[in-house]
Amino acid sequence: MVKKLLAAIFLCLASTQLFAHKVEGVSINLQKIDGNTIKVEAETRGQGKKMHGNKVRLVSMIDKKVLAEGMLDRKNGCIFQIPKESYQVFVFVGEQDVVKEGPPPSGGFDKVVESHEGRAFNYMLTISLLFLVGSIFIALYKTVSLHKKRGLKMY
Amino acid sequence: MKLSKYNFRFLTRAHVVVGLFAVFLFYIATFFGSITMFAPYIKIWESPSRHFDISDKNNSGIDLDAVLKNVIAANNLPTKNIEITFPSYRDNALKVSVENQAVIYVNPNNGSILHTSDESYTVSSFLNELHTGANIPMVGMPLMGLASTAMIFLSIGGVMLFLSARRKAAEKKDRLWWHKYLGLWLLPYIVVFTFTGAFLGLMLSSSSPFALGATNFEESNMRKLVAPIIFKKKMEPKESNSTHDALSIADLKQKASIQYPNLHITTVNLYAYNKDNYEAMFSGYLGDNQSISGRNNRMSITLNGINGDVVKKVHIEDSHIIKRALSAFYFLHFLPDQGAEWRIAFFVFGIVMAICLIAGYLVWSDRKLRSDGIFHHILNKIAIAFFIGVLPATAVLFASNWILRFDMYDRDIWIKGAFYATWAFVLFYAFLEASILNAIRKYLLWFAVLMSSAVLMHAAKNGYFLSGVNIANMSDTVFFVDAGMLLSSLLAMLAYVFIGRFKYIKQYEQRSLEAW
Repeated sequence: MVKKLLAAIFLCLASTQLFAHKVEGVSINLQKIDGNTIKVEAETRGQGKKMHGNKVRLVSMIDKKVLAEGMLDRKNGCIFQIPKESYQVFVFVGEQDVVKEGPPPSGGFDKVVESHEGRAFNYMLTISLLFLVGSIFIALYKTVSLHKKRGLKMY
Repeated sequence: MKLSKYNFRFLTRAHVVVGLFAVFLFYIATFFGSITMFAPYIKIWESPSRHFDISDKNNSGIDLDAVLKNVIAANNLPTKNIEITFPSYRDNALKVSVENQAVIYVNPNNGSILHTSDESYTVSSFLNELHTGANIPMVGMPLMGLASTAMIFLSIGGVMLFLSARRKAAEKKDRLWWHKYLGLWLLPYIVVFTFTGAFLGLMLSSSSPFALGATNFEESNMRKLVAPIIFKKKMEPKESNSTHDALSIADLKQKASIQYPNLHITTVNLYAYNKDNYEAMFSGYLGDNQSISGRNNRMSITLNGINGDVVKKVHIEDSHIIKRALSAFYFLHFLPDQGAEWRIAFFVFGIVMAICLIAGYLVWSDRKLRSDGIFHHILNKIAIAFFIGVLPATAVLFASNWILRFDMYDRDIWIKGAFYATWAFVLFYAFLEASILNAIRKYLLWFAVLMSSAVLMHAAKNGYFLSGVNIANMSDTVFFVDAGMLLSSLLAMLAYVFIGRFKYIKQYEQRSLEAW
């Protein structure tokens, strides 16, 4: 019983979350109006209320330059020309920001970089899991070898 | 009070089983909770924009109205409800915010707008997340609450066991001695913090069944249901177009402190700023009643902005009883308005508590030392990775704040990920290394190296490096956080050198070498 409980606790501790650039209950909608313009809107998920007065930024994914900046309007959201390079849309809510990668213009981007979404998470999760699996592997190996060597009890 | 023989045995067994369940979780809560005591200072340390001292504590040096007009124009803010938080030890910047829209920080010494868009206070907020268990989705917070509840049981049970145990004539100072007496000395601290912690962790996070039951399965968020009643918001006034000459914020603040002398003003809400229905609500805590007027039950006084007449004054008797109770709970757990001396005292208590928990684990582990099973050895490895391995992982958190670029995308995920990856590596190393002593010494060494390199990196990135003039100009808070980190790495180095001399580690070492 003790062993099972402890195993359950360690499993819970291992399954941690890594979230960023997300504000509880706020979502961004990106809508292409025509080939070269995009409409940015943000709304609170619960009530579906449109947010307004928030700062919006289009940021290049290549050199982190701010490509365009605007303010969410009460009715029309915020309308931008789509840049010619890969970009992210930042909407600032208080001290936090919500980020989404923007769609390409009709002719495609001139300069493209790989998507950054989830990259940090995937790298770090892989490294952590590698070590955890390694630990479990060693523990199993030692258990089995000790069991064989001395004929000991498993527990 | 003496327990019968069977009850005594039963309670002892229960103490061991529940203790083994709670010790790991509660160690995490205690360790990170103790560090979180310093979270406001760490927040200042980790963000380069706050590396200054407040030269004038009453910040009457700058013209608040001019600064505010500048901020409004630069960010196109609506003037319906602007909140200004005055600088404090929590944050030395002046905070101007509009709910759900924008937060702008201003240097209170010269009124310039600070560039904070790259800063996210990852380290201090992540330490708090680890403390509450919020880093684990869904189950984390209730789990920490359960551990706190278990801790209440353990401390009551522990006292009962202590009272009815037969004491030998001459007690050795063994693990049980440390566990027993450290626990007893800390009993008031443990009771207060576990009780409030259990309430915050277990009850607040698991109130959704009650919320669902009360609303026929329509709403699961209890806060949404009760907040409109308990935290009633002031009706925001209609935006009027006609501007009006008004008193300056500094004058209004002075008038407010004359009308309500006991109030320590922390924030002011400006409704319809400089319009003809302009009102200013000054809120803060009461000097003689800090526990009841905590962060979620602020007292306030509302003044008419045009002529400075008192519109409304909220006294302690006017506030909702639940708000008062909540405020007292929060006061006991968070020390919202307390300064450094309290925080250092509770930090020391927390570290002593952590030692008490480790001693408790060792009591169990000692008894199992002669048993042949492998499970005990594996748990010992996990225990050192938990109890001591958490040190290098935390140091990585501090160091990576200055290693990584500030404008990096997903910076906070890289930092948090580095923490988890290090901790996983520490566990891996514990399994890899047969000698327990070596593993512990390596952890202490890594901690010392990482912690001092975090300080050096911080110095290099902010230009304090080996220059007496620059160090003399350093902000006090930043200097003391740096000094504390250097001190902790020095202590770790001392432990690294002297830990081999403790006799009882040797028996663990021997058993571990035999089995692994």
